[in-house]
Amino acid sequence: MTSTEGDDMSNRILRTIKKIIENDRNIDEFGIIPTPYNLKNKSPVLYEDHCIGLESWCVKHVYNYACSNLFNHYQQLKKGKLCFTKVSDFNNMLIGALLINPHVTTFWNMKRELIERELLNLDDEMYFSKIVLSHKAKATDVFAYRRWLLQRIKKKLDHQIPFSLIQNEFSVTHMASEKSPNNYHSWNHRIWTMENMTSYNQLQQIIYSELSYTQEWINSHISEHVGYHYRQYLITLTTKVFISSTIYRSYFDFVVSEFLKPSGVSLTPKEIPLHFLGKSSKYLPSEGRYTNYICIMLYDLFVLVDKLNATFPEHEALYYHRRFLVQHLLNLPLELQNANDISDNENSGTKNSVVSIGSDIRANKWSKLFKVSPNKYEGYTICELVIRCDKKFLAENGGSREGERYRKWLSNVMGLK
Amino acid sequence: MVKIYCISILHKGPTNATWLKSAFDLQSFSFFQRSSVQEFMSFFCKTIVERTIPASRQSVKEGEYLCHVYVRADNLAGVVITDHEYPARVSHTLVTKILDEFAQQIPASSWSNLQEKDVHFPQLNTFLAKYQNPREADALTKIQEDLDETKIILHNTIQAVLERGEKLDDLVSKSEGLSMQSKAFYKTARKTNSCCNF
Repeated sequence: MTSTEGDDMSNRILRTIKKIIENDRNIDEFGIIPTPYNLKNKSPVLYEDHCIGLESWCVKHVYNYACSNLFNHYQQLKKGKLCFTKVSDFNNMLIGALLINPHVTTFWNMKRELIERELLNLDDEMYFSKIVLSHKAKATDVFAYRRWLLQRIKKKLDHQIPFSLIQNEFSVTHMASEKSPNNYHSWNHRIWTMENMTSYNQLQQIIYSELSYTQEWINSHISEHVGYHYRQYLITLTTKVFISSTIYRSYFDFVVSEFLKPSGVSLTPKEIPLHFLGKSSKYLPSEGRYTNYICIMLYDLFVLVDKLNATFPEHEALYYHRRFLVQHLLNLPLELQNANDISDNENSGTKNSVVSIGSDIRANKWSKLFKVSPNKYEGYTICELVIRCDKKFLAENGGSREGERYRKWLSNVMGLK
Repeated sequence: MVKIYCISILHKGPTNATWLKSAFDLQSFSFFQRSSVQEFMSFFCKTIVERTIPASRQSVKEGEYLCHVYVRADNLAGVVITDHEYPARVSHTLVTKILDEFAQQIPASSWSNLQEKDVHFPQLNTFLAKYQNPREADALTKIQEDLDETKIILHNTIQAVLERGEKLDDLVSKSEGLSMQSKAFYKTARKTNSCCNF
């Protein structure tokens, strides 16, 4: 193949791809199909059932062509000499090059430049970057580009972001997470969307629906640490964005039916922390703030982890989630007291009985990590519950490899016998 | 992912194995790879059944896949291909259950000269869909107790299953059941897996 022939062919291929993307707004996937030779003398662009495929033999020609001409076009664009027809050629080349290799930040920056000159449309670009993710789900540059686009959209809409936009973002990250295991890039993008694209009021509701989403996810991706990480992030978030009226009913109901009803206690959601944390709950920053947090953690410990472990034994990721729950539940009352002591000390400097207990705990915590003091958990309902649950769990799973590791962790790090 | 990709029932003849019925769930693969993946899974099923002695069970790890095979004493064989998260115990119970049901419905005398297209056993697709959630297996606890896990031979690669002197690459290139495209796909997959692929 001579070079001009190759260029013509590449140009045709690029135009075909662009046309397909332009005409079909529901492309599911782009992929490169391993084909060592051009066997059939047909167009290497396959288009079927909303999927685009590119035969691998032409990839190097197309990519070479795009790369060698892109910079030339870019120079002209900078000088303002790029005529309108050339702009669409330029974009075709960018599309081709980025579909084949989305890891080139320079090319994405060229796209940004085109947007800033209003030569490209924001929605089209959101759509295009989604197609790129269907091919390479772990490409950081694509997510960065999407965030950049979203921020522009946000500005354009004057911060009134429709819920559909957030949902679309969630579905794109879902697609990327499904395509590639342990895809921290896509989950981080999900977190970014939550933190930057939602309003405070929406967030409460979104956290709730995301909690059920992660539960679904964990059910079918048992050994992927990302799912647990995201769930832990959500659980922690509940204490930070708290509006007293929003109680996550299903978790609260679980706690009532499992722990309160049997012992004949009836509580309002606000009284939950007092019941479980005992005397330390008076140091809570605001009443009822930890209700959701406690209820979700208890649910995870008693239902989620337990059930999953029965069906899928010996999964490290699941054991680590258990560790997270146990550690945070056990330490919650101690930490609250601790934080209070420190602020007490700073404020007045006066000593009272609580301070002496607190400093004792702090000494334990800082001096020796492995120092065992089983008594420190005494007197808190929540600690008793957790310890009881762990005893039962170890009785059932103690013999296995992961079970043994867990037992060691409990005794050495948490100080439980 | 917790996933079953393929369930296949085969008959192990004196020299080679023949397919009696297969079901696939390949939605998680990219569109243009699905046909190649399907050819490969069929090819794997046959290769492994031919190298498993009757009345035994094996589990073979290959990359991110787990392949569970059970050849009964009467030469009826079942293979389940899952990903690594799917519980192995459930896979083996599933194979047992499917083979029992198949043997009840289709007489043993016809197995050796049946063609896959003539076999009417639609339950296989139902099983495949239902068992995507392994907790369905709770209903099966009775059989699970009978399953002696110590008797399952576990191999870490398919190479361990092959006979001495055999190589997977040679088997692939010699195979008539694989199309040109699938062979190209196999070669590329080998290459990309051989180095760190982020």
